[in-house]
Amino acid sequence: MELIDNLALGFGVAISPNNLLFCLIGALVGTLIGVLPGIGPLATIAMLLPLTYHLEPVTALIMLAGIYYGAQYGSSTTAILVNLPGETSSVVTTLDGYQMARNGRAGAALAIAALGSFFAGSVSTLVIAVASPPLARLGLQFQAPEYFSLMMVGLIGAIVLAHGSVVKAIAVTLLGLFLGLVGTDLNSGNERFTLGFPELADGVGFVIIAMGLFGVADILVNLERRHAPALTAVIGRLWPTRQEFRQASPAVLRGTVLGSLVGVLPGGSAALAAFASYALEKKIARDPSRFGKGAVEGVAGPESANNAASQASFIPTLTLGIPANALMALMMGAMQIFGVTPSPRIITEQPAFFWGIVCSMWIGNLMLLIINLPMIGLWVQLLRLPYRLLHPIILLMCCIGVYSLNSSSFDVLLMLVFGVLGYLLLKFGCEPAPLLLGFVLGPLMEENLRRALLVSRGDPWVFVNRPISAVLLAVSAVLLLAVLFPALRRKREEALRE
Amino acid sequence: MPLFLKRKDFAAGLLLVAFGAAGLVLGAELPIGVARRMGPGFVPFGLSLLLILFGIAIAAGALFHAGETVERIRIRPLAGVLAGGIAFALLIGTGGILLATAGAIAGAAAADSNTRWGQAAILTVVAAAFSAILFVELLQLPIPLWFR
Repeated sequence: MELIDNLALGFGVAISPNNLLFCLIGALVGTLIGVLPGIGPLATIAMLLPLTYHLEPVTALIMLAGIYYGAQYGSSTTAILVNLPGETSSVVTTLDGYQMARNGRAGAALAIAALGSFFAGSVSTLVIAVASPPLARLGLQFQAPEYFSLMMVGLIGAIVLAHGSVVKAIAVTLLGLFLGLVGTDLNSGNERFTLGFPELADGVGFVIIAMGLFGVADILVNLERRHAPALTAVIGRLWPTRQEFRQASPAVLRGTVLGSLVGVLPGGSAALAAFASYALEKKIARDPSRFGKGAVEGVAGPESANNAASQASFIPTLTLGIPANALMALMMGAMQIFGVTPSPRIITEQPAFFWGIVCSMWIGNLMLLIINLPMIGLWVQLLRLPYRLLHPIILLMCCIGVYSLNSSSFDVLLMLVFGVLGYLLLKFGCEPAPLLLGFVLGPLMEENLRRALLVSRGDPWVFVNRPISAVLLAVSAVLLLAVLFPALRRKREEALRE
Repeated sequence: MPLFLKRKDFAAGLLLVAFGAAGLVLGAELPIGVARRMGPGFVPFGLSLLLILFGIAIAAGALFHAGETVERIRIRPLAGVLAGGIAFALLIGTGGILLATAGAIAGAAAADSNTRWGQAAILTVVAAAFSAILFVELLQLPIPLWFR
């Protein structure tokens, strides 16, 4: 069995003492960050990149992935206990999770969230293992036109699923593509938009943009609005009752399937999967009025879905080199820093790297279960940390992180510039996440557009005459029309409302 | 000031137009080329135009539809955080990580009206020691500890 061999190879890599250690560190740090309000996973991963520079690429990625799904676990804790989601993916959990806590079932809600997440994480690890090789084989047949069209689907997907105005999301994505142009044009050697700064000749470092937009800008916004979390009193018994188990189990299953599907979609994200799962549970429930008052399914479904999706979204990144959302764009940028370019060839050329990461995800999920349930009291204490002690540390970590890339003070100043840009975007009601995706995909799209048009002698029909490319473009068109068409737009607003 | 000037969409549109216009001006020298041989200016030109178009569309929307207005921009967080970052950038190469850390934390602390200065002082010392040990000693990043 090829699958077994692959998994054996992967576990061999993942359980080396070093990799286990960094998987644990990643999961711990991720949980810590997830619990603390005001720092998102994007900023965390960007901030902690310098901690991984001296590691092997596979170890570094294992740790970063651990931070990513650890943050998901941690954020459900705050969602349930203090009605404050640590990340957007847990926004839905506040609806019923916090109500369960107020009904004295906080312990059960936490346990269901953790167990559901673990189950979903295990299944989606298998999904990655099964789905990646065929997808990579398909990807190997892709040429410039297909890649261009695929990235188009990715961008449109992210736009369609962004919060708020579609037009603004498109504009912010364009801005990201535009910023991706800065630097020396590889084909002609012309410098573009470098404003005469030699530091910009290689383009704007992607960690700099990520930390500016998500680290510094978040501090600026958070300092303007104050919130003091109010802790619910008792956690209560951790183990759910038999009836709660009966209600949760099918919801976990449905959430896992839904999350795995949504995660693979271009533009799909953990937050979207959670929303979709909540909507589904409410729709099929015999008594929908229980939702919002502490329904067990309202915690079990979304918490499983967001974890399944956050892992499944590694599939397009690792096999095709197309990140599905801003977080995956960050992961892809991190891989490039370590000299690994995600592409369909990665599975065959670097099997130990690929399978090592996949298997470490399962191990990481197991660790998280252990980290979260018995140690829950410790994490709750962290909630008492006031923001006035946190944001100076966040700023410091951003500065050190960016400086350590090239030992360049210019980079730190540039990060501040992007911090102000991100702050303005947020102030003006624009979500900055699509910018990062556009920024990462921009240079790739330009290169593939150039190649496609070169081969076709300038004939733009090349994108429509090739079947795979045509299908991908049709998907983008349908997605775009769907959001611009008013009836469907209302549906989308309903689904994304919160 | 007319109301539409304060709307979020109007400001967002202006910001986008500014980027697009800058793109057109700064990219004016880049050869655009033709589709079969795209020049370095091909994509910049197209994107700049699109940015301006979308910017105008978004800003124009604010003229006709009521929308949220931009909340007041507070100077203190902005000034403090930027000062902290700039202090870090200026100090790290010459003054070393201890001073740079102190600069960043002091700026960030000044940005927050809730800061208690006693706590901030302790935080500075702890953070400076922590970053010196973690980044300079353990991770061996090429950052000096103190003045060279």
